[in-house]
Amino acid sequence: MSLFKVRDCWSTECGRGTETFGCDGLVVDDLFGAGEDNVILGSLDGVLRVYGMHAAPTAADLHYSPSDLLVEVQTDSPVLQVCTGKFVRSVDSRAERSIRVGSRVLGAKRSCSPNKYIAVLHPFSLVVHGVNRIAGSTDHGDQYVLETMYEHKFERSAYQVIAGPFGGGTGSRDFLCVMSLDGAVSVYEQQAFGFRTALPNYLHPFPMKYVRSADAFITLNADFCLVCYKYQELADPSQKQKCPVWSCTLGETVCDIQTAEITPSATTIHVLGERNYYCFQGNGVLWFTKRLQYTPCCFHPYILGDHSEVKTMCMIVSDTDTVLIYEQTKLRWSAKLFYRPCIIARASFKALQGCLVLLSETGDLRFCYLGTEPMIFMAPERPPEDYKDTKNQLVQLKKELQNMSLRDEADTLPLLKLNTRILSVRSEGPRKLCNVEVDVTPSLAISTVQITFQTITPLVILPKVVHLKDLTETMTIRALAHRDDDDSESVVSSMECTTYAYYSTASDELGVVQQIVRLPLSLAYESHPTPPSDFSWSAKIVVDETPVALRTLFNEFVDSSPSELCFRAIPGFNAKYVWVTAVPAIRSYEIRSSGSEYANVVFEEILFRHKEYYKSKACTVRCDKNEILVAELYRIIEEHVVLKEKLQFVEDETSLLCSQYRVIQKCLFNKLKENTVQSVSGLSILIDDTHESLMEKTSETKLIQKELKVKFSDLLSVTRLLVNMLSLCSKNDTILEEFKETVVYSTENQNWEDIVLQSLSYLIGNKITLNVHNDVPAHLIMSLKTLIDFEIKRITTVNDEVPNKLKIENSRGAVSPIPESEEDFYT
Amino acid sequence: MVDNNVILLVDPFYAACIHLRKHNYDKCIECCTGILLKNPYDQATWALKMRALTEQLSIDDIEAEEEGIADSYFNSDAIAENARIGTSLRSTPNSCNQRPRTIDGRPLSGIVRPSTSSAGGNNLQKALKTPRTVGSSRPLTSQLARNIRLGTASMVSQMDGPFINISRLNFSKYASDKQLSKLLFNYIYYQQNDIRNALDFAVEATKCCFFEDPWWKVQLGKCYVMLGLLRDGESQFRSALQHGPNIEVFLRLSRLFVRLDQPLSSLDICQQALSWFPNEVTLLIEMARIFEGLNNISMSVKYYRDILELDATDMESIACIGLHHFYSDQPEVALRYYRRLLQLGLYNAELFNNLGLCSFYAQQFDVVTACFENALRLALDYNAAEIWYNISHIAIGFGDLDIAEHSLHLTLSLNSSHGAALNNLAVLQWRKNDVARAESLLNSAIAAEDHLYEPHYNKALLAQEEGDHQTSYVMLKKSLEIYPNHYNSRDILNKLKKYFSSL
Repeated sequence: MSLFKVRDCWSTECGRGTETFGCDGLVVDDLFGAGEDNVILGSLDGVLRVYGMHAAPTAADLHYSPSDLLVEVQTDSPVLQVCTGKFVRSVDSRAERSIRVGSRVLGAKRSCSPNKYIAVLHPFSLVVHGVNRIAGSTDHGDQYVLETMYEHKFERSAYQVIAGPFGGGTGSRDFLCVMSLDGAVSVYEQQAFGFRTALPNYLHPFPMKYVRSADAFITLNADFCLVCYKYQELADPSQKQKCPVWSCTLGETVCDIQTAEITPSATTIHVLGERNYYCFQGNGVLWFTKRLQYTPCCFHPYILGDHSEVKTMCMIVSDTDTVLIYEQTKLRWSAKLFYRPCIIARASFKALQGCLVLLSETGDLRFCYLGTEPMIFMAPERPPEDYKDTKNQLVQLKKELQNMSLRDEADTLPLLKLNTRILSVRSEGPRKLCNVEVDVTPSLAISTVQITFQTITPLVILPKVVHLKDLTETMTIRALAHRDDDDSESVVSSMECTTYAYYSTASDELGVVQQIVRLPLSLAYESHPTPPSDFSWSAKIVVDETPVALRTLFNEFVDSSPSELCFRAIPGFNAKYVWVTAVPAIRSYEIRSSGSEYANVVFEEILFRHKEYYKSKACTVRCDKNEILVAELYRIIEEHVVLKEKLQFVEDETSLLCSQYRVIQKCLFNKLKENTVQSVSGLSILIDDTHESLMEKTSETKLIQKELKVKFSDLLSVTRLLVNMLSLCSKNDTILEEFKETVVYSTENQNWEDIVLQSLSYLIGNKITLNVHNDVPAHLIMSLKTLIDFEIKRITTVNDEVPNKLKIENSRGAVSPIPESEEDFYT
Repeated sequence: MVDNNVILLVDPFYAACIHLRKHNYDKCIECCTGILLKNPYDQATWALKMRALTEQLSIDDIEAEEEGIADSYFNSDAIAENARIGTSLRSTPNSCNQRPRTIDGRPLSGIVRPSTSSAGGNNLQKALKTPRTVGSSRPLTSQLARNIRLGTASMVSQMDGPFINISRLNFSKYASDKQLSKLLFNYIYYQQNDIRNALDFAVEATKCCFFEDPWWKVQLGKCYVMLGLLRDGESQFRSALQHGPNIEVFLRLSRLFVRLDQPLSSLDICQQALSWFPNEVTLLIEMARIFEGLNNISMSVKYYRDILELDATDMESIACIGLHHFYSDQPEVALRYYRRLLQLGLYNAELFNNLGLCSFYAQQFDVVTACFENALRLALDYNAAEIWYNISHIAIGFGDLDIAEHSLHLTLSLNSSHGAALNNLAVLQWRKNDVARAESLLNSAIAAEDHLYEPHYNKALLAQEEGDHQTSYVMLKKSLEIYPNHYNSRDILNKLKKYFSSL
């Protein structure tokens, strides 16, 4: 998308994209002395190519033509690197057979031939080639032939070749130096072998370059130091330990090292590290450095301008495929590339001076120039909109928004059917188990289904969640319901078990189906032959019809036909009883129990079974509204709140102790620095003591938590009973329903009182206004009582006569976003 | 021509080296594994594989630093609670209130970077109190932030167990090995992210080179900083600098001072570094960021301009200068900066959003819709909320309150604790005379983001209208606490004071 892109003027693909190119396989040099650069390219697949740009009057005319490929040779060994230089001292007689470009005066020179030769590094050999031009007589143009001048073979696998006028000299001859993978450096003085030596502190091959001004080699050693070895020192066989002339710790591995010559006597060394770009002068002085904010891939430094105003430039390619061109440390240009090149270089042609040469790993060779590429694509102009139309559309949309409600979604039929069956109860030792089976029948193919069972503690059902995938036909899921053994004191408050199925189809249609079933009563109660005489709670259910005989009503418990049936809650350590009497004379059932919290399940069961029995007709069931156990409920709420306060208190203390513990720990660590036993002796007692009391508090917390759980089950049970009884004497069903929804709320880890208070006060709205803080527990209970009383009155009286409105400011503070205790001992 | 198998003649070790140079880490590791299978004692290959594994995971850890909650909590360095104005990043002066603030209560920056939240809460309490939305959750510790994840990623890639078992490594042997020690340290530090062992190893190694090698000092300092021993880290870095200046060490030292909440020392270090390395962009960026953190926007912008002189493509600088112009009422100048970003190839929702806002305030209404359409097209959940919020502003500007309300609702559906949106919605409801809803919305706004003064002020106004002077007074106090120079709040407060004293 960037505006700044490189524009390509000449491109070709070497080897149809199946060849691999290394990081050294390209060199740009003027082979023929024609003032135009040639690009010499060697691939790891062993192909050596020489390109030369055909003459073109302007840059615009440049494009690839097949005649630009001067030489293409397949060698029998991979080409690791190519380099050019004056590698041949004398012209042998064979050369006379052809005319070599650039050396018009053949045989006249006895010293070094000025034209360039190509040195090709193979893994086990170094071959020097000359390029001969055979002038063409026809339109085909000239023909270029590669001629092998000499070859050196070696045993060690090579890594790099360095060319240069080693050991000083006038620059009329170049030697070659091969660095092998194991750190040995061999110098070849043209056809002759020079010497071989090993680099010290060597582990991995890093790029090595020759610095002409200092007549030295630079490379990176295993210590991440840039080191510079004099040629003389390397060549001296008497010196076993080679010492660098200078070294500089870079602290990172390098990507590449290049040299650029301002003048033959002033060479700059450019090093591209992983995160930095360094430039050294030939004598090892750091000239400048720049920290890069990207990962560099390859670079190419070059010198611009004349002696008076020399500019040191550098092109760096980042891993985001951008070329950045710096003048020293100042960014001059950046442009997006087509691909990530593994080599970047610079070449000059008559038509285009200083173009970028890019080579990708797969052999995509391009000559590019910097430029901008404005987006040619213009978004088609929009048809002139009819504003009247859009206005109408907006009005329509607004209307739809207003009419939208959440109910619309419930219209669609569920795609899933649930059928939950309760199988018989069996005992397993003291435990009673009950199998539950659910048939899941999809009406369409459904991709995922999650089935969840929900029971109210202490009843549990396992597995709680079942996942099904790719459902196409009816499937039966089995689960096991039983009373939680660990939680023996809690009261069973309801036998209801809800099965939810959440499903989604392949087209992401979501849906929920639920079904409520009653688990068998015998999971929680068993019949008991002798009813005890003392009871603390009783209620009467008056029915219009004859009460059903207990034998039929509870046929799984009794065989004979008693007038009275006694249930005992399981497990019965501290035997709690509920007994039921059917009195046909006054058309009522009588329930008595040793505690109101135990009665709810039986109460619900009677109502349910009575209605089941008289299925055909709508039966009326009533109860006395004076029997409604409001006081009982308040007592339990109070006890619950007190317990919670206690828990809060203990938890506060625990957190205090914890912070104390941490402070002691911190002191201990500080003292530990002194390393003496005395320094920590006092603290060790303190820390032990704190730990002990911490453990005590924790066990106390556990105990209270357990108590709280039991109390909460009582609370739930009593509220359910209250709602059940209210439903029998209700005059105002909608309010009852709302009341039920808010109060019967089985939440395990949230604050029941607060939630109920909030929702009730919302329900009641401003008909009654509380003039208390809800943060104080005593006031909380008070206001809860007021609200519940008001609700019950509203439910049981015919018209909801609104009590006189109290307008007192509700000074509840804003809710703090962080409910947990704040540990601010440190601040 | 290509069908031959010449490439198979390449030495596998050479191939591995070349792959590493080309950053083809996987191929390099593959090659090395192949060689090691044949010859398990090939030290060079073993080290090369180690390098590849390290480089694959190493990141520029100077940039990636982020202070976690636990770090600031267990930070044992005593810092004066009430720092003098302008010397601490944690108690920045509130004078410049034109810029909106981030969820941590920091002035908004032109760019999101890992450390923008680093000096967020001055203690755990505040860190916890700022609402924990998806957008503002802070990592628990800096260790957890990025590095741990990288460490575990490395384990997945090697199904056959870790490459090197650090616990069984003979530290003293390898620490004295000059060829391997640095590579091995990097491996332990970056790849395994085992800071404790890395520290042990560095201590051994620095002993072996007689405490002379600055590189080891820097590594020791890095380890200390990671372990939270900032002062020890400082002494190591300073000692390393005695061997010669180094940009990286200066940067690390500066970051360390930022973590110590000593921005002025940090600036000092940067100045010192700049005398060695003039024109170093990373140092300038560091300084600009610190000035921005100190709420010294003009200095910050000056440095950002310097950066642009040196590196005209630095997006952070362009974005920050653009933002500065936008909030100093020069939307048309800001527009030019943002357009430049677009030309540089940036193409994301935030940019289009900014372009849309700038063109709206620069009264180029024709492009506003197109910009926001683009922004919404590119937006993801976390920034779509902000875009809808801005659209609501535009709608209010055009006078279409219905659309404004709808877009605010959309904002809240995406980010339910967007304080500013809640506040604005409250004001819109108030205009419709739905006082009860307005009040509850204002309450939510205060609960969601308590660093905004607007909801407090609005609540005060609302309470004032209802005749509830006490609430009004409390809210005004809070509003002035956040923005001491808010004229309207003061005005009402004075009136209230007069009223109370007349009672």
